[in-house]
Amino acid sequence: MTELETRLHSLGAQVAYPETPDLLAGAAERLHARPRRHVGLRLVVALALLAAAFAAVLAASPGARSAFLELFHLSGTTIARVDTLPHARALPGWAPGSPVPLAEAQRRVGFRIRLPRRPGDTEVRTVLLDERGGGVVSLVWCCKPTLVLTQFVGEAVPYLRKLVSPASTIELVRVNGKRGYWIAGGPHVVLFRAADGTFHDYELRVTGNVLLWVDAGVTLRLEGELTKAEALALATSVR
Amino acid sequence: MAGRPPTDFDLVERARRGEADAFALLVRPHEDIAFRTAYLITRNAADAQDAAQDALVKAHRALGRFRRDAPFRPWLLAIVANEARNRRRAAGRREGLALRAAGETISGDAAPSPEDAAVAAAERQQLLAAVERLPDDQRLAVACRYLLQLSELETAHVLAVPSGTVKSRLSRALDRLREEL
Repeated sequence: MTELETRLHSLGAQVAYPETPDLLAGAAERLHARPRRHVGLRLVVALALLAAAFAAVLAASPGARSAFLELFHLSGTTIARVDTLPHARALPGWAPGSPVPLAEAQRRVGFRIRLPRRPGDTEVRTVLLDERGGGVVSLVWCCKPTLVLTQFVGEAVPYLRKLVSPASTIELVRVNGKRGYWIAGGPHVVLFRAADGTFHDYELRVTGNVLLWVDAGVTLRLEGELTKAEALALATSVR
Repeated sequence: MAGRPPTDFDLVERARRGEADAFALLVRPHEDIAFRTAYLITRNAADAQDAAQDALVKAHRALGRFRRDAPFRPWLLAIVANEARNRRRAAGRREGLALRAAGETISGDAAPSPEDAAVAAAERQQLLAAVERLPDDQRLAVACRYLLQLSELETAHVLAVPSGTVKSRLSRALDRLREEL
């Protein structure tokens, strides 16, 4: 090695690189997410915190050693298939939030609330509003089966995380031409992010099937004892 | 198993079966070098982070194509470098001076006098500035081979060129640096 090469070699140890971020946490967060450019500092920090929060939720659960088998991403939602579901404590009620009249919910969220338009499905029993993170509206209607349609503006920072067991199937579907996922066949746990600065997660063990799709930036989640065909037919009428 | 440490391929196989721990074991030792490689190409910390993270995701998806007899690090660095180049092309900009030398920390009897330390620091900064002025292909070859201390094979993977091209770029770069200095 020449003197110049030796100098360059020792210079390598003296270069002040930026601190290496936790790439693995970020990669777990972004598996299946599209790369984003022009990401603001706030978003970067929020993603890092969320990744840490998600890891913490998994680590604190009996499924701590559970492996990520697959990750799916849909605007505002991350679906992770894990080999062991964490312990779930039931959320009081069908969805997060407090009951409000539909008109009030519409006044207090920044997006147009989608409603089922199919005859027979238009009688919504309860409207639940959770105003965190830009507003989450859940429409509950009865009676056989009880159905819940949750909707919120999906951002780069997922609001909703869903952990599914290997027994569940996750199928890519189209709802009115928009990408969605049909999740069926096994128990799963839903983690609702409480963006109140503390990053708690509510956990909800769901036994029904779920259809997730996105309509013009609004993420919709239809849950209940429905077959795939029934769910798709109902979702198609939600406008 | 008699305590044999897992090979890269063992960990790849376990990661392919869905063991998140195995993928972490495989990748964690290379996070610094992956990020720094991306930084040398993108010359921007945020882009480097995005590129390196996207590369980890792509590497995870591509584990099935990892060859049993291949070392993991050059394979990973090639993916990282490719992502970083894409990001830099998309950004369409050439950042200014990205590298700077950190202060040297030597204590005890071996500590140089303040004057010697100042001269050494100035020389390091001068050498680094000369590296930064090299044409891009030569700058990256020097940065990978000497500053990051990658092997010739790894440098070739990062630059996506044959080893012979790495040698010729390094040779031209060293000639140029000698002239400048």
